[in-house]
Amino acid sequence: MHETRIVEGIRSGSRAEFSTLVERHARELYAFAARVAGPEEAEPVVHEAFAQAWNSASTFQTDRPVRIWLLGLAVKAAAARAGFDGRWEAAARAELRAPGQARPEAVPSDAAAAGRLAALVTAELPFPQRVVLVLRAFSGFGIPEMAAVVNASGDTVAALLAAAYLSFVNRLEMRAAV
Amino acid sequence: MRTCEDFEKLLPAYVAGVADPADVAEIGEHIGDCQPCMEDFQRIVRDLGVLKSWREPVAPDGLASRVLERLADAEERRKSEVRGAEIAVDEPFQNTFTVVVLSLIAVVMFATLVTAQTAARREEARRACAENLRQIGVVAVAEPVKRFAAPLETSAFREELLRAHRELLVCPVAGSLPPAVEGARGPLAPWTSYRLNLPGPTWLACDRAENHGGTDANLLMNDGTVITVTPAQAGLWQLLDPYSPGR
Repeated sequence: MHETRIVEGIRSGSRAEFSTLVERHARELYAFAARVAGPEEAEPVVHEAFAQAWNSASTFQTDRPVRIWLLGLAVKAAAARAGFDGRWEAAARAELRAPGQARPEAVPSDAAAAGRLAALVTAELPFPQRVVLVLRAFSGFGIPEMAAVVNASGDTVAALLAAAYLSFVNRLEMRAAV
Repeated sequence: MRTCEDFEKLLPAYVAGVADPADVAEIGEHIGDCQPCMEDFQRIVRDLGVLKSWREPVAPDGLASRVLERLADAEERRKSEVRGAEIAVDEPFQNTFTVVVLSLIAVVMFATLVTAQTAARREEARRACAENLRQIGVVAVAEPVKRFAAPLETSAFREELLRAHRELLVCPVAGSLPPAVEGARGPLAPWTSYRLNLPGPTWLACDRAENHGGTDANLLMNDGTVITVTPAQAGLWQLLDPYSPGR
C-alpha cells in the first residue's frame, strides 16, 4: 500500500494502518535514534516519534516521503532529550576549529574497533552536527532531504554538515592519538 | 590569493560536497597541485571512512509491538484523563451551585431572623406605647387610608381630604372603640379600616401647614373626639411613633 494512503488511514484513526507504518519504519528509526541519541535513549525516542506520528498525522505533508516525516519526528524527540533548542541556524553559525594534524597510523585498522571509535566520536559532536552527519552517512540523504528532516534551510544544513565533518575528523584524531 | 590555510578550512565542505560551487574548481585545482593539501584532503576522506565501520544498531526484538502497546496505553490514559477532566470541570459547577444555594438559604434565614427580631421589638414598643396612650384617654390611633394626589390649595382636594378622612386605618389601643367608629363591634384588629361617624369634618383640620405631607396621626379619644397629631408636636409624636404604619 502506498504510504501516503497509510498516513491518511492513520488520520482517520486506523490502528491497522498505524501498525503497518510502525512495522515498516521502526527498524530504521531505531538505528537512527541509536546513532544520534545513543543506544539507551533509542527506544524512548522511537516511542515518542511514533506517538507524535499517531497524534499529529495531520502535520504530514503528502508531497514528502513518510520516511522523512518520521525521521523529523525522531529528530525532535531526540533534540528534546538532548536539550537542543531547535535553533539550527544559530548552531550552523558556531565558530569552527581548524583541522588537527593527521595521525592516520592511530586510527584502528580493526573494523569493529573503528566502528566503536566512530560511535564515540559521533556522540561527542554537538547535537545538530551529529544529526546531519548520521543522516548523510547512513540514510544517504542529500542536502534537500536533510533540510526537510530537520526543518531548516539547505544552507544551514550544508554549513552544519561541513562543520560536522571537520569536528568529526578533529575529534577522531584526538581520540586516536590518546 | 588563497593560502593553504584557507583551503584547509574549505576542505570539509568540499569533501561533504557542499562547498560553494564557485570554489569547487579552485579547490580541486589547488589540491591537485599542493601535496600537503592533497594529504589533508585524503586524511579527511580516510577519517570519515571510519563511519563505514559503524555497524547499524539492531532494533531489539518486539520493538514494534511495544510501540503499539505503549500507544494503546497512552490512548487509554488520555481517555481516562479526559473523563477525569470532565468530572473535574463538573465539580466546580456543583460546588458553586451548592455555595450559591447555601448562601441564599443563609441570607433568607438571616433576613427572617432580623425581621422576626425587628417585629418583636416593634411589637414590644407598641405595647408600651399603647399603655401610655390609654393613660391619656386614647382608644385608637388612626391614619387616613388614602394618599392625596391633588394640590392642597384646591377646593376639590379639600373635599377629597374630608371624604377620605372619614375612612381611617385604626389601630386600637383600648379594648373597645366608641360608637362613633362604625363597625367597631367584636374583636378589634390593628390597622383595620373603619369608618368614623363623627359630627362634621372639623376634627380633621388638615391643611398644608398641619398636614406635613400627609404623615399626621389621628388619636381617637375615649370621648369620641379625634386629636390630630403632627410631627411638629415632638413629644406626642415620639410617643406615637410605633403606631404609625408608614414610619
